[in-house]
Amino acid sequence: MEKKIGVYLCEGCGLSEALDLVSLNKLAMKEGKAALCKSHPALCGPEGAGMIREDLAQEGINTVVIGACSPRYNWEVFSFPPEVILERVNLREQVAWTQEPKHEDTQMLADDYLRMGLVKAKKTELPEPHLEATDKTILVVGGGITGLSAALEAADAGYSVVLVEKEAHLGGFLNRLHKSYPQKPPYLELEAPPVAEKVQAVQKHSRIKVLASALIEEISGQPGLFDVTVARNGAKESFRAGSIIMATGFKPYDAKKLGHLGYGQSPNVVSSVEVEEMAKTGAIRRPSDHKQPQSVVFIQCAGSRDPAHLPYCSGICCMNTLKQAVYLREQNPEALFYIIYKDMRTPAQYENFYKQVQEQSPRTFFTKGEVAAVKPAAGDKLLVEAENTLVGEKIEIEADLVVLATGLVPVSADGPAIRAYEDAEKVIAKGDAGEVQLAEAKKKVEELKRHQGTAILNLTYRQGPDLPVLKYGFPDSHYICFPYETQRTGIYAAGAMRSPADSRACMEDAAGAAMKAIQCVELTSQGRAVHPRAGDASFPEFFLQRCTQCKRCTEECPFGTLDEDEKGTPKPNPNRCRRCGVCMGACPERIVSFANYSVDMIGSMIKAIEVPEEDEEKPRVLALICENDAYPTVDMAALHRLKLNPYIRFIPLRCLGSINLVWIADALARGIDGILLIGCKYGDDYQCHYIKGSELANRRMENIKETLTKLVLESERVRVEQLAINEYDKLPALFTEFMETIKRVGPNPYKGM
Amino acid sequence: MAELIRIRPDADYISRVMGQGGESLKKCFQCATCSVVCTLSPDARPFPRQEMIWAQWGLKDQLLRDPNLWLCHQCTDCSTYCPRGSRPGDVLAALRALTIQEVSFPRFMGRLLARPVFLPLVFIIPAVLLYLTLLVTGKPFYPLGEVEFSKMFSHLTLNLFFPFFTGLAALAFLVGGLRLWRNLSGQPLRLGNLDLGRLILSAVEAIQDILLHRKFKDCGANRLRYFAHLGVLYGFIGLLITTAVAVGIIVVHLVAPEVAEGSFLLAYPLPLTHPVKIFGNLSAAALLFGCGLMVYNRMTTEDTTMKTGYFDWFFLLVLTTVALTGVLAETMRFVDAPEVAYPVYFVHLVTIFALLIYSPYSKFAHFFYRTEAMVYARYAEKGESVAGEAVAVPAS
Repeated sequence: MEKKIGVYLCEGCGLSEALDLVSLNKLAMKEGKAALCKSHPALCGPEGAGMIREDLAQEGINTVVIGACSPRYNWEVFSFPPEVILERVNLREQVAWTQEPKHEDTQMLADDYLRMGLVKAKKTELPEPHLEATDKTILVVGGGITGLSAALEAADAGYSVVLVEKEAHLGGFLNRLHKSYPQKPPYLELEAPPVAEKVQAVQKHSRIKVLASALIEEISGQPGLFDVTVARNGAKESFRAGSIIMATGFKPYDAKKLGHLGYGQSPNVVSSVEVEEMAKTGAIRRPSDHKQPQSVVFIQCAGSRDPAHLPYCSGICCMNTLKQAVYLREQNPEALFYIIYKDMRTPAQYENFYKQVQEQSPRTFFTKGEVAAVKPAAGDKLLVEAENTLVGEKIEIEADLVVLATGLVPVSADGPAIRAYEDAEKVIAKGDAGEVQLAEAKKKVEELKRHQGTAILNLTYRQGPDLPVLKYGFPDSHYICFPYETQRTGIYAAGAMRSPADSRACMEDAAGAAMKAIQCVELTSQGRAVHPRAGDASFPEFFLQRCTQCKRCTEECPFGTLDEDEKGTPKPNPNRCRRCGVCMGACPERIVSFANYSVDMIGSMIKAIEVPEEDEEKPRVLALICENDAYPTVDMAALHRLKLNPYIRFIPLRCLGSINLVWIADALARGIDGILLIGCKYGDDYQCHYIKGSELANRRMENIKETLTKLVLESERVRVEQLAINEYDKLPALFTEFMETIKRVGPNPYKGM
Repeated sequence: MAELIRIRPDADYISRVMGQGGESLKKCFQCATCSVVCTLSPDARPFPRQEMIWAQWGLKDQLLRDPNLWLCHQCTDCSTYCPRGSRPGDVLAALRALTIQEVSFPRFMGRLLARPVFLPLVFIIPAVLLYLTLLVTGKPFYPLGEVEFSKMFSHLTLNLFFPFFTGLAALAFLVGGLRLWRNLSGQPLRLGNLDLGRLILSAVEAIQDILLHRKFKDCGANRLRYFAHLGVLYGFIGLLITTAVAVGIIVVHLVAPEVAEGSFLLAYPLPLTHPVKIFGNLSAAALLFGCGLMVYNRMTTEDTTMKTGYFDWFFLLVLTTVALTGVLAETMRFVDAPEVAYPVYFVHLVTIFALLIYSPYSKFAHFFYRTEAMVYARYAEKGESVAGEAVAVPAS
């Protein structure tokens, strides 16, 4: 496509006061070889945008470069037909609002940004979406309250659903409940578990196919094209699905691990699940003599919020205990009930139920405290010793029955262990491993034996059969910004396996995950990215002739997009891709690129920066910043009119993980004095949209150091920083400090070479 | 190392607290807002959060030895700010009422005064006693001539009748006071165990606090109660002094009439311009003002902040009636209206009787027990700072 570039400069929002727009115009026409360059007092107004549209129609402009506000604003005004290439140069936030108006340095900064914008526009190709006939069926794994709800939500929205359940009956854990705690206003009455009507609705629904007593043998392929094989009653069944909702729920925390709270020491120490079973089948009795207890101690957070067990709050145990206290009170109003808690957590209107139990039960006693010991006493009784209680520093309570309120463990928690087991088995099977490696693999197999065959999804992905998990064993990919999303595109977690949840939260989750699954099948059918770059039609292209089978891309892709052939050559699955470019950053051969994002494009932009001679005393710093967090942070600093250093040039990256070392080498070779890499926070509470982009960038710093040594340059010239989206106020100091470092190290000796 | 407390909830005690005006007790969820907003709560051992949970759990023994109950002046700061509406102020009032019942001697009297069913009996007893006295002394209910109350009950009669019953009340207080001390300190009061200097210092400080209403002044939410209580306290003390002086003058008249003859200061009945009479009338006015303010305050305060129960009303209304009938009887005497004066005087005497004889069992007892507990609290605190270790609060 012959590009005909139109450049449009806005005069509003302080731009004309800060900048010499006429000079920019000349730059665009002469240096940039634009077909035309116009300015307008308010480009985002109907007249300004109309002017551009007119040029598209009349002048044959097909590539638009807009020098105005940040691309994060007015994107709906500046949206043009898909065949038009659009590049936004951020002259407002990154120049006019953060720099001295009409200063020489300010103008140089604007010039550089326009140059970079023009280069980028020239290097951008229109992406051709990857189109294939896809399937829009939604596979729901798990027939509990979450799976049932998700199936109904998706089916009611018009999608075909296949629901796979391991057990013979639908309903999941709720089938085991005697009653549910209050779920609807005024949150005072115990209710029947909300599952029976859902089961009926699912069974009656014409668009839902239920496969009960079924296990998933294998899932291969990618979103829109998942090939699912299910084993049921000794037979195998295969079908295709577009996206998957994982609703396999939780397992109660194993009370056998709670010996310090008396479990296993006395039959009269039971878990809350056991109390529920007793309530469902009759009265709650003391296991040792089947008498109704006269005194019951509930120990909350039994193994929860405890670094030695589950470090998190399971969210349901407080309400569940209140409910069981009501069972017991109704059974024997004379009995005494003690609830020892870390904190009573009955959020929002559940508080009503807590209040009611308190008020209606003069014989229910609550205290915060830590249980120090549960000891057997005469007459099958137990003595519960608690410390730091509200009643006294050290108290002792005699009980007939002690109930441990155990927490929830997501079934996904074993995912990494399952993968480790299978990987080790593969090493052994392949037989070409070294002795040490083989011994290690054998040890691993022995150690993780119990995980054999426990995979649920049985994905044929290179990166393991189940979902990767985060902190606490939950399979989220970005808890705050992208709930339901896992690290496998097209597979959405919902309910108690996504985060601790009760049935009400599970039903809500199910709706959210169903929406995500629908979004996935729809966008995938158009060959577009699902998230976070929703709608992006680009995808990574591999120039495989030059591939050295180093497997960096297949291992580093945070989403398991790439499989491998026997030799280790990557096999792309475009529909699994989130377009972050981590593979592009990983590849030492630079064979990975997108139509609208490539090593060459960013490299050319870096080359477009004018580097003044050393005697001008105008240093230049390149800041490669994450487009998700760091870029908006700069915009926010501008909104607060913070002054930023004029010698820094920002280039946004899809993810810091897509950094290619050649950019650093090129920049330094051109005489750029320093390079800042600003990514998101990483670690357990990471904020990276792509899980570990900034972490990878940090790891690659090792190689960057090598590059610096090769060039005989100081290592201080390149620095990786983590910045949260709300830390705009830290920017000026960060830049000032870095510029001082650069000043101290001195100008880059490669200037002018 | 903290001692291990074996928990034995007293379910009966819980229902008694709830029945005594602490029915909101179980609403408390132990956030401790109350202890934070309370201006009277000592930093080292804050209340009423701790008392709330002891009461919720029915830990009677813990509560009986807790002087904090008596440091509360029920200003309702805590109840106003309580996010759960559990009214700690009322719960503490209920706990005090129960403590009064617990230490009262004889014990049945405590229960008698706490229950509205016995209200008629409570008034019939003094009325009958006084009426019998009239019959025995052969005095008329409506004496003839100018109104003079000694025509109905002679000075001698009254000076025998009231001191006798007041003496009984004092005895009851003595026993109750010893029981309270035993509860608070965990051991019976023995002079040998006491540090008298410390005790006197504590008493002086506590009484200073009471007379100056220092603590009451700190309460923020219910300012009215400060003025009302000040009026009642000083009015009552003033009337006690007036009565004592009047009794003294009567004794002079009985023993040495010639000394009293012609003396303005020793004239009886005291003339209106007599300084003691003026003092007495001013005291009566203060008492009436205080009572009126209290009644108004209790009637207008929302139930969600402070609920007034039988125990409160009984004492307040008896006190108000004493003040009202006293002023009315005096007025009727001056305007010489015997048909009103004598019955009112009779009622006045009945209510004074009720006030005094029942004082160890009614809310009136707080003047004694609160003073004692405040003295004890200071005494124990001083002891603690002397010993530099935990105050001796032994196990139950």
